[in-house]
Parts: sequence; C-alpha cells; structure tokens
Amino acid sequence: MKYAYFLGCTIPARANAYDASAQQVARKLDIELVPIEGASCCPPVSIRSLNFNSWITIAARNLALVEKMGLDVVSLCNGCYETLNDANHILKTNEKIKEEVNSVLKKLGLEVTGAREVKQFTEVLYNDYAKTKLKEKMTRRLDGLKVAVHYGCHLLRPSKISQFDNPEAPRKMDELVELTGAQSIEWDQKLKCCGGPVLAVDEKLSIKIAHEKLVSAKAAGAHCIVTPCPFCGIQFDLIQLKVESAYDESFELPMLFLPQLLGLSLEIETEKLGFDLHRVPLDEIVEIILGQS
Amino acid sequence: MAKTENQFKKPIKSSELDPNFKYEVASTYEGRTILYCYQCGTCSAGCPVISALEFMPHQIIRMTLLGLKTEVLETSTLWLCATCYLCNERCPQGVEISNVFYSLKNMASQHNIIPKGLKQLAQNIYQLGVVAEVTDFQEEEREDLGLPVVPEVDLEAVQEILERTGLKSLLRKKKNSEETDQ
Repeated sequence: MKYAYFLGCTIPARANAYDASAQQVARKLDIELVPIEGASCCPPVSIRSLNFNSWITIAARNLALVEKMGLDVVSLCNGCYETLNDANHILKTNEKIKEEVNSVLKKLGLEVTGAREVKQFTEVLYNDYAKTKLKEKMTRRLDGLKVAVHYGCHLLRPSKISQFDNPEAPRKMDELVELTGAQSIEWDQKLKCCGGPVLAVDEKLSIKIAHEKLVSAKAAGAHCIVTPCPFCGIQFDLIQLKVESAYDESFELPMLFLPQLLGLSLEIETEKLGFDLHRVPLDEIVEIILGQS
Repeated sequence: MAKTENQFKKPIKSSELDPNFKYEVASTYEGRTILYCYQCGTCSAGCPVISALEFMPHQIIRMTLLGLKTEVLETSTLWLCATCYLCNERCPQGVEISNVFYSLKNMASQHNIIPKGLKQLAQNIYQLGVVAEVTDFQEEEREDLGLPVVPEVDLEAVQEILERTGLKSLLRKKKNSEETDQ
C-alpha cells in the first residue's frame, strides 16, 4: 500500500512523536508514505473563517499536487483530514467552485479534479489489509491497560464528509485499541470536543473544557487517553499542566497518539515512538505493560 | 466589542433591520442552508462552548434571519465556535450551522472585524506558507527520531493564491475600525 503523505504543519512543529510512531507502525505494515513536495499548510478552519476562496484554493492546490502523484492521500492530523476531505467533496460536487478554483490553479500550472481519496491514518489502519497485518504482528499484549479513546471531532464530523464511522456511537478506533488487549473504557465525555480549537481565542474556556474531559476520563478509571489528532494530543498533554495549575488539581493522566499505543503492542522501542517527548510522562504506562510480561 | 445585556435589550425597530442580510448569507456556499431553520434550538443544546457565548447558536441564526446585521457581525460569539460540527450533525432541518458561522465570519472579516490571533495565523500562512513554523530545535528533534526533513513549501505559489483569492487584502486592511481583542 502506498499513499501520498500529508504531514501538515502542527505535527512537525509540535507533535513529532506522532509522526515518528506512525512512520514506525507504517513500516511494520509495509505501508509506504510518500512526502508531497511543495505542499503547504492544509489550511485550517481559522483560514476558512476569514476567507472561503483562499481556504479552498490553497487546499485544492495541495490536492492537485496529490493528484499529480497518482496516489490517494493520507493525513495523521484530524484538522488537515477535515480540510482536505471537505474541500475535495466541494470540488467534486460543485462545478462552479471547481471552475473558479482551477482558473487560479491554471496560472500555477496545476488542475484539480477531486478524483483522489482523502484518508485519515486511523482509517488506513482499520481497513482489512492493515488490521489483519496488525493482528499478526502484535507480539505484546497490553492486557490490563484501561484506555479512554478520544476520536477528535474532525475524524467523525461532518459525517457526510468523513463517513469514517457512526458519528454518535463510533467503534472503529475502539476496536483498533482492543486489538492490543487493552480495554477501551466508557467515559461520559468521550465524544466531546477537547477545547483545542478555541485555545487561540479564549484560553480560559479551552482549559475549562479540557478539565471536564480529564475529570471524566480519570473518574472512569483510565490509565491514559489515546487520540489520533495532534491538536487534541497537545490539549491532553501540554495543556494538562495548565489545567492542573488553573484548577489546583493533579491528574497525571498520560496521552498517547494511537500509533504509539499500537507501536507498544508491535514491540517497537519506546524511544523510536517518541515517548520521551511527552510533558506528562509515560513511565507508568510502560510499567503497567512491562510489569506483566 | 461585546454589548452588555442592557444595551442590547431594547425594542427591535424594523427600520434598523437589514431585510437583505439573510439572502446575502444564503447566497454564499457556506451559508446556503440558513433559510431552513425553524428555531428548535437543538444546535444550542449540544454546543460545547455554550457557556462562553454572548448569543446561543440558534439565536445567531434567528438574528441573521431578522436582519440584525451589525449585532451579528460584531459579536465575539462567531469566533468562539469550536467547529466541532455537532450542531450540523444534529440539526433536524439540515442547517449547516458551523458553515453559516463561517459565512458570517467571512463577512465580519470584510468589515475588518478579525480577532488578533487569527490575523497572526493568516500572516504566518502568507509569510511562511504554514501556520506553525518548524524551528531548528524541532528539525533536530526530527533528526533524532530518524524522521525525514520537512518538505519545503512552494511559498511563491501560496502567496500568488492568497493575493488572487482575497486573504492578502484582508491583511492589508488598516485598523480603521475597531478590532476585537479576542
């Protein structure tokens, strides 16, 4: 399996542990991730809020680069995934917008058709090939580990764009987590926004939402939160420290990116999975797992 | 920028309403579903940022339908939307509320009402081609992890697009009107 690999900007700037672990897992599964030369920022919803035409044309340029490679594109970031998938959907279904976008791209020697598929890495891992291969290669059981699964909004919604899973009762990522032997626990805030998107406009609100999420996961007995989104990941790791000081409460609840958890089960060394880069240490998780094997 | 409750609670005079505002919104791609709203309030019931909003989502829709253009374009509520799309998902009338909000924010931007943080992000994408810059420190971190160098952005292409499609002109706008502090 081979995909154009849309890295985006938040991951290399703030979440390299995610990239490292995903590349390690991809290698184990013989999934080839090809960088996209010249790609820019996706761009995010903040740019969409300012100017729709600029947002869709930049996204379309990235999609046109992917189309030239003759591959489908995969993104680790829920935000990039939503932008590229949504833009692709609009270009496929709205001839007028597509024409306008192409009139700008033409001057850059590019054209977009909307012919390629946009996928999130979790979606790639869930397909039959990868899931079977994952199961075969998992040599370490993570029995006893209780995981609070957090999908992140843009992996699920809008569901007419994403179509990854049931937006009100998703199961696919829980299944991937449970392949390892770990238990995906029920927690009442599971499908709620992490608060990350409002961090730049209202930090207090963002921290309040993160606090509610952490309280809920902790109360449900989670040893860690697992997410496939860099923004949510930052919110649960780095911002957790701000939550702790704002509310004078201690959580010490580690966050893992999904491929980091899968990587543990594939017995990839924790250093290669970027475990040392977390602000909330992962030592306890490693202890729980290694303590029993 | 935000109005106090007392300032806002006054009789609505039809002479102060803009009857075309709703059609202006409905004519945009993002705002095309607004006229379907029947005010059930489901969008507001599930909103994760409701506690911080000056107006609830269904109120913004109703105010837009009424033609309270200035009040809608100037409220901080628009910029607090987390774009979680829960409202879109649950609306029984198929109103894409988050997208209507994009449309309203695009209009506010045209009036130079843009939160400072977002203007900075837009500056970044124009100057760097990305919203978050990868520093030498992170490049080193990537090298230690055995990760490849981040592909270089074709900045010229990005800038040409932003000049032709309107974002650049938003950045050029002087602070002639009041800017929100959020």
